[in-house]
Order: sequence, then structure tokens, then C-alpha cells
Amino acid sequence: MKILAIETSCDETAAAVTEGTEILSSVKISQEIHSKWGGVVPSLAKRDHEKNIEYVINKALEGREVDAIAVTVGPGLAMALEVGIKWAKKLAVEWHKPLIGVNHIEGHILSALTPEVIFPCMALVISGGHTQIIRVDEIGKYKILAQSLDDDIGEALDKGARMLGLPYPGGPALEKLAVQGDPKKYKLPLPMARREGKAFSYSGLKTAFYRLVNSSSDLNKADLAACFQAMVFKHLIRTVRIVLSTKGEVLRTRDLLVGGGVAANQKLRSELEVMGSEIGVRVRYPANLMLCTDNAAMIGVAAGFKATRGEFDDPEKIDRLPRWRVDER
Amino acid sequence: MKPGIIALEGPLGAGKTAFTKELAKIMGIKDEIISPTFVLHRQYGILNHIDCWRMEGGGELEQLGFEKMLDSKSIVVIEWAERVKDVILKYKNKVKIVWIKIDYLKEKNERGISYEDISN
Repeated sequence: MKILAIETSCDETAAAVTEGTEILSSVKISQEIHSKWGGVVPSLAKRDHEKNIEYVINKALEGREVDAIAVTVGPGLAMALEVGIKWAKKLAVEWHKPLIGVNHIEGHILSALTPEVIFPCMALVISGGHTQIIRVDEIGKYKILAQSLDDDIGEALDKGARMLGLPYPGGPALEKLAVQGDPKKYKLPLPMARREGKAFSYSGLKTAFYRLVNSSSDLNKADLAACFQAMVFKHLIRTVRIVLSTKGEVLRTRDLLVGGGVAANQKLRSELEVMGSEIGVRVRYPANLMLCTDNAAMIGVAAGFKATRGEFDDPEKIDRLPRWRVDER
Repeated sequence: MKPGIIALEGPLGAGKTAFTKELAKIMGIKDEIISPTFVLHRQYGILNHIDCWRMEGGGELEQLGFEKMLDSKSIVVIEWAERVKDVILKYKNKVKIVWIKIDYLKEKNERGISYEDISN
């Protein structure tokens, strides 16, 4: 079954055509119109889904006929979700094709899926707007075990980078600078100390870092970057380790699927690798960076599984769900 | 009753989201209020929570459907409000607007908070 998938939950206007877990095409506006704007795409233009969506859909289709239409219905920004849903509805009705509403987080979870993965497994979704550990009992059946109480991990990295004067998006810039720094040079507090394993919290660390950065003018920027990034990851990994070893005992988790933009960070990957080998869990990532960050291919893949379970949506009733939890129907 | 805008201004980590968490609690909202920096806007019943950190100007706030959020019962909290002050001020005749500044003080857990009603 060929599926046209549309994703407009936050910044990216994206469309893709998928068949099962195979990606036939995947298009994002930020990539495609980059040269048209002659440089960096202004965020306002980039987020103008209404203006970009038809172009992206046509580019993904490239004349292909599809059997179903999939669209992200949540979680995300209400105004942005609406644009994708409106187009998906319109095409489903015009072409007389079934419509499949998909949870954005489910897309991220399934991005790292391979045929070797054994269920139940665990998933870690880490991005600018999400920090979640999710138990995956089977495809379509999830339970959120931990999430952020305040700032998400990618947001924390971005804001830390901004404090050091690095450009947006800050995560990759911070990673680059941190390579040259000493992660033990300055002291920062470990978030959720003594309450670890239930949730993530990055706002206290952010505040502490702001105070540190502004405490003196002769601090070394690379050392600051290294210390901040190290503490952000330490909190993440300690929490993942606690959750995986407690629940893992029962579940015998053998796989951890990692998705979201922060999964592109090489330092984090090497640390997750160490953790994985210590607790006997294989850590798996999406095949490439395009599939870590927001994209429509992951929505198509998730929709493919929903279609095989016969889960379709009525075009008259489908609606945006801006705070839809992946473990709620 | 006029709708209300609570405009929050203050440096990174000063406690704008923490302030909103407390406000939500007082309003009886049971959901966990989390930072809207990346998603830009979240709605919890009559509470709308907006973050302008990633916005390039007031145009993006208007694109979010800001005007529609300002109905009689709603409260709209805007973080990094100084970035969209021009758009907020457009509503100062129709909407109650309280401008709140949060600043770091010398002691680690101390903050200075000042507020001003800037509506007509």
C-alpha cells in the first residue's frame, strides 16, 4: 500500500510517499527551498505551511498514485497541524482514498525500527519539543514512562548555546564547540538529584548555567559548552538507565529505539552506546539524519502499520490533537 | 469580563515558565505546564501559553491565531513578550494587559518581580 504522508506539526512542512517501511520519497521545505531563498530560510517563511504545502506534496508525489493519505494530527502546534489536516482531508475526499491520522511521537519511535527489533522494547524520543522514554509493547501499543516537567532536551541545548553566543539551532553548534572543551572544568548541578528515574527536568540546569556564564568574563567558552552538554546528557542517560533497568528486569528489554533531532549528536551516541553495552541493550537509530529530525516519512511508516490493523479515520471527524499522548487513543 | 494578557519578560532561566506553572495551579489547571519554546503555543482550557523565543517578530504571533485566543474568558501568557510588544499593544483598549518583569537578584534563588498594567 502506497501512502502519501503529510507532517506539519511544528516548523517543517514535509511530505513523503512510503510503502510499508520503505521510503519512496521524502521532502522537507527547509531542504528544498534553501537555495530559492538564497541562504538560510527565515523561520517565518519556513513555518508558513499554507504557502509551502502544495509544493511539498507535489514534489513528494512526483506523479505517483497512492492508496491512502496519512497526516500528523498531534502532538504539535494547533495552527500548524490544521494546515496538514486540511490538505490530507481534501486529497482523501477528492481521490476517494482512506485517511490515517498519526501521532507524531509514534513516527519518531518507529523511525529506528528494523526487522531485528524484539518486542517489547523501549524508545527514547529526544528533540527540541520532546523528551520521552516510552515502553513499546508492540507496534501501536505504547506507555510513556518518563517525560520532561519543564524544558525539553533540545531546547535546553539550544538555550545553553545561545548563552554562549552560538547561532540557532544551538545544539549542533554546542556539540562542535564542546569537543574542544573540558567537561569537568566547571561545576553544574545534576537535575532531579535523588528523584531521578521518573521524569526529566532541564530548567534548573539552564538557570545554573546562566548564572555560571554570567559570573565572570574570563571563562573558557569551549569548557562551558563541554560542561553544559555533559550535564544535559548525564541527566538523560542516568534517567534512561534507571528506567530501563527497573522495567527492563521485567520486560527483558533488548532494544532501545532512539529518535528525534538530538539523536544526531555523536557524543550522546557514544555515551548511549556505553550504557547499552553495560545493561545489555542494543541502541538503534534512524538510518540517517533526515529521519532523526521531523519528517513525513516516519508518519507514512507509522500509518502503514495502522492501515494493516484497519485503523482509518473519517475525513468528516478527523481533528487536530495538539497535546495527544502517544499512549492515549 | 475582559480577556487578559500576562506579558512575561526576563532573561533565560529567570522563571517565566515556572511563573506560568504556578499561575496554572492557582487557576485549577491539572495539566503539567511545560515550556512552549519549540511548539510556540499550548492551550490548557482557558489558559493559552505562548513563547516568542523563536519568533522573528509580531507577525508570527498573529499567524498563531493570537486574536482568536483573546475571547472574554481567556488568559494568554506570553513569554519573551518584549519581542512582540508591537502586536500586544494593538489590543490595549480591548484587553487587560499586565506586563511582568522577572530578574535575577544576587542570591541564587532570589528573583525580583515587577508588574505594571499597561492597558487603557
